[in-house]
Amino acid sequence: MIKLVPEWAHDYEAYWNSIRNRNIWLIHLRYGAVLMLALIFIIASKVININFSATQIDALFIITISILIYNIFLHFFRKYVKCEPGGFNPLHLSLIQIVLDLIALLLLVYYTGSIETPLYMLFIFHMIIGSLILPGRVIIAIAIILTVIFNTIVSFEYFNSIPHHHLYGIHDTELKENFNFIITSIGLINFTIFTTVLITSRIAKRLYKREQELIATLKKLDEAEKAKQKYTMAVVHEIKSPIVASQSIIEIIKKGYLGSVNDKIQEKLDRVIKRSEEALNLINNILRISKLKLLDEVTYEKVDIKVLIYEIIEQKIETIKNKNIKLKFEAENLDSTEIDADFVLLELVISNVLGNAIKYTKLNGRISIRLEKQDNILFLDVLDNGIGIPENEIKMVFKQFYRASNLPDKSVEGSGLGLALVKEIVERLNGSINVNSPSSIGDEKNPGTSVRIILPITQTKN
Amino acid sequence: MALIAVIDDDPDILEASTLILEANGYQVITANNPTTGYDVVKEKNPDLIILDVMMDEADDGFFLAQKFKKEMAKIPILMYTSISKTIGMQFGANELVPVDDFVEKPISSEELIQKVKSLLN
Repeated sequence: MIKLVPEWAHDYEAYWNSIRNRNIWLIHLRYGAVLMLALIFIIASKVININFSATQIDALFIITISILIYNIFLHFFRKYVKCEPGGFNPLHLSLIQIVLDLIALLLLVYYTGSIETPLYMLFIFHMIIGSLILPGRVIIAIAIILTVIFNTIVSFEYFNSIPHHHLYGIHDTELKENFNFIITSIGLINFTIFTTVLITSRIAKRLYKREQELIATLKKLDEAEKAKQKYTMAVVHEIKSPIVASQSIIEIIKKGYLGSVNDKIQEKLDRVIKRSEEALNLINNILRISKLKLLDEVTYEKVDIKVLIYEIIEQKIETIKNKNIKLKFEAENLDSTEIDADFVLLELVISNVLGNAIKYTKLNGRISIRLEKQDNILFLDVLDNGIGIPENEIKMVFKQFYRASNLPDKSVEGSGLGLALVKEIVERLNGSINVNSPSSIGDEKNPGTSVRIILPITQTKN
Repeated sequence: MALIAVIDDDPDILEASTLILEANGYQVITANNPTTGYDVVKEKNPDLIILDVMMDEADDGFFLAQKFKKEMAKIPILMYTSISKTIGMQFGANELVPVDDFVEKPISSEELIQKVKSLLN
């Protein structure tokens, strides 16, 4: 098997895609060519009165039908061609197509008068298509064979070695023995064929190469992004170690392992733990975002979102009670609340959203959680009557490190990373998230925020 | 009295662990790098090993755990980790991570003692 794949083709998937696309394009084009041929002959014989001989009519009919038949065959055959650089591949199919077309065209040219027919113009057209599809050296070889055959036919006709099929109606006299006409015409045809092939194949090669370079660059960018995320994870881990160590020390002081601690110190130690936990949360969120960006895949399992929400409420019950928040959770009319999701990621999403609602709701406020289902879609609404978000800032809440301008004071801890992470995860789970303010349970004084998370119940497998 | 070996490169974590464990009636030996850790365990044959996931190199803890499991399969291993929960790594007692349980840093004295007790029984 002739190895047609050029040396510079590295990313085979993209390379084969282009070749396959060009093959199918060529096949579609050929159906048009069959139609055009039929039309040309009808117009030639009926409208401009070219007199075809009986042999010519038979030959033209057979050639046109043959083109149609081999095109139908190619159309079905191409589906079974495998993209293997070593075996029979789409490039060989391209080669077969070009060769078949050129044989058909040579026959057409021969039966319409060889050097006298305007149809040889179509050689140029075929050379352009061939250059776009086939490697340079192959199409140059084809051009050489083509010109040799064509020149031989013309010469043989000149010396009367083979019959000439004069096209009556275009030229009044036969031109096959007019030496000057033949020399100038054939010289120009040969020259045009070769220059066309050289120029077009150069441009085509450059385009293919550019395509390959683009893909390589994209891959490099992707790798660079991953390397950056890995670096972030390593750095963040280094920052985490001393905080974790300090917290462990405070833990042993608080628990009295180093002697008794009075209430005042105990209280301050609690404050130290609380503040360092803020740093830890921030670090954990950065780690989570990095991990999300590092992993391309999410693993799905059946998660009962209702049970999960109850668990998260349980984790936060202390703060809810301390702030005397009235929490309502409605999911009673749903028979099943299982969805396909990554448990850890989904927990992060709900924990973050509910955490925000609690954080930004004042004493004696209200929070309402609702679950609804529609076909394959699950809606999770978390509403509060907290401080809300200024209207012109709603679009910014998903930006990393954004914090709303209406925070009462800096006492509300937060990094501004939560919702950016939530959005990233929800989208990774093929869902979407909307944030609105005011919420339907808010009032003028406490506008509140509503968050709606939309998730697919079953993930369609690709 | 049960003997526990704690291997971690952070001196404060070593101190905190020692304080908590000793106060609860355990004998503690420590090491601040994998090499000494390995030697100490070989020599003293403790009843439990507490090991940090990451030391200088990201996989130090894992490799050491694998080595212990291969050579001293009977000693239970408790692993300190500060990233597992955060990034949702699913740790389990399998071949990749041959340890018996995990304790998340920062160390909570109750959790540590409870896990140590259950592994020693």
